[in-house]
Amino acid sequence: MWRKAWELYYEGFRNLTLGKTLWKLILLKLLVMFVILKGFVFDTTLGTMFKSQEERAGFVLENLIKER
Amino acid sequence: MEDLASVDWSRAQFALTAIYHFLFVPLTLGLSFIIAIMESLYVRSGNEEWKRITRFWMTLFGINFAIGVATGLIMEFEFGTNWANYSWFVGDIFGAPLAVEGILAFFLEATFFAVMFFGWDRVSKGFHLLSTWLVAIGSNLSAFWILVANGWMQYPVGMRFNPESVRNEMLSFFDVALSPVAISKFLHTVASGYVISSLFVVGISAWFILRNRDFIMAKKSLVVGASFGLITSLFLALTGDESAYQVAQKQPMKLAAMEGIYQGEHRAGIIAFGILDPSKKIGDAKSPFLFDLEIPYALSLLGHRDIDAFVPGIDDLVLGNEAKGIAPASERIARGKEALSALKSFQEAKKEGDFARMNQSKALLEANIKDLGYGYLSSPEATVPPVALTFIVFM
Repeated sequence: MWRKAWELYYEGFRNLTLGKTLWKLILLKLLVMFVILKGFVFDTTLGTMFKSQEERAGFVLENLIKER
Repeated sequence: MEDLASVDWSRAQFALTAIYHFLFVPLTLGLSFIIAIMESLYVRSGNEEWKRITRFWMTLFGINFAIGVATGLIMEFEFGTNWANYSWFVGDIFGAPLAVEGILAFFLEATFFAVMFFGWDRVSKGFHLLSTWLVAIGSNLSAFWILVANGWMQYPVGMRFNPESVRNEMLSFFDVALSPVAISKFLHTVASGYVISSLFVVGISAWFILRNRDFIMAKKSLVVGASFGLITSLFLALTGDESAYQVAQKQPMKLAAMEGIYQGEHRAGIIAFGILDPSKKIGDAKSPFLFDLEIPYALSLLGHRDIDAFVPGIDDLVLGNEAKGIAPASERIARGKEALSALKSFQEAKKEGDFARMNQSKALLEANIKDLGYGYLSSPEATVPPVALTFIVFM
C-alpha cells in the first residue's frame, strides 16, 4: 500500500511537462529560503536571542513601551 | 528614524508577497470547485468529453496552485521575520487558526491534490472524484483560517492581554473563529474568488469558441463557468453587503475614509463617483469633493440598515461629537498613553518585586487597554488613514 503511494508521487512527478520546471523552481526557492536565508541571513529570532520565555517577554515589553 | 525605515521595508516586503499571493489564490479557490463540478458531471454521465474538459482546467489549476503555494509559504515565514514582536504579542490568538490551517487544511489539500493530479488511472473514479472535492474544500478551509486571523486584526475579540507574559491570551476560541467580521470577510473573499474563477473559465472558453477550436468542450465549460458565476455573483453581493455593514459598525473611521465623509450626517448617501479635493483639511468647512455623484440615503441604509442612521465622518471621529457620543481622538490617545505608562510602571514594579504597585498598574492598564494602540499615535490626525487612496480603491 505504501509502495503504491510512493509510486503515485514518483511516477506523477516524472511525467510532468510544464509543471516539472515549476516544481523544480519551487524546490529551489524553498531551499534558498529555509537553508540559506533562515540558516545564515535571518538567523536571529526571539528563539535564538533569548533562552527563557521571561527574557523574550521582557524584550517584547521593552519594544512596546520604548520612546519613539 | 532607523526603526521607521525598518517597519516600512517590512510592510513593503509583506505587501509585495501578498499581492502576488492574492493574484493567484482567489482563482484557485473557485477553480477548484469548478473542476470538481466538471468531474462530477463526468462521473455521473460517463461522457469522456467531460473528463478531457476537467483535465484541461486542472492543468491550469495546477500551475495556479503551485504559484499560490510558493507565495503562501513565504508569507508564513514572513510573519516571524518581519513581525517578530507582533507574532509574540498575538501568538496565542494566531497560533490556533494558523496551526489548524497548516495541519488540517493544507495537508488535506496537498495529499488529495497529489491523488487528483497524478491518480487519474491509478485510483477508482469515485475516490478520484472525492479527492477533487476534498482539494476544493481544503483550499477553502485554509482561506477560512487565515481570514479568521485577519478578522481578529480588524476586530479583536475573545482575548485578554497579560502583561506578565506580554501576550494576548485567548479567552474563547469560538469568539475568535465565529467573529462576525471574520465570517463576513471569509464569505465575501471566497465569493470573489468564485466569481473571478468563473470569469476566467468563461473568458478562456469564449476565446476557444471564437476561434472555433474544441467548440463542444469550450461550450460545455462556458455553461459550467457561467452558471457557477451567476450563482456566486448573487452570493458575492449579499456577502459584500454584510461585510460593509460590519465595517460601518466596527470600523467607522475606515468607512469614513472609504466614502470620503468628513462631516457625518443622518441619511448619508454613497458617493458612486467622486473626485476628491486635495486641499481639503480636517475640520474646515469645504466640501471634500470637487465633483461627486451621490446615491441618496444609501450609506445609512447599507451601513446601518436604517435610513435615518447617523454615519460618522472623519471630523466627528477626530474632533469628537458630543451629541452623538463620539469621543475625540485626543481622548483615546490620552487613554492609550495611560495604558502604556501603566505597562511601563508594571515592568518597573515587577523588577522591584513590588506586588502592590504591580496590581495597581495592571488595573490601570486593563481600564485603558481598549485604546492601547492609540497611545502610539503622535496626534489626532494620525488616526486617519490615507483618504484619497482608500476612497479610490473602494470607488
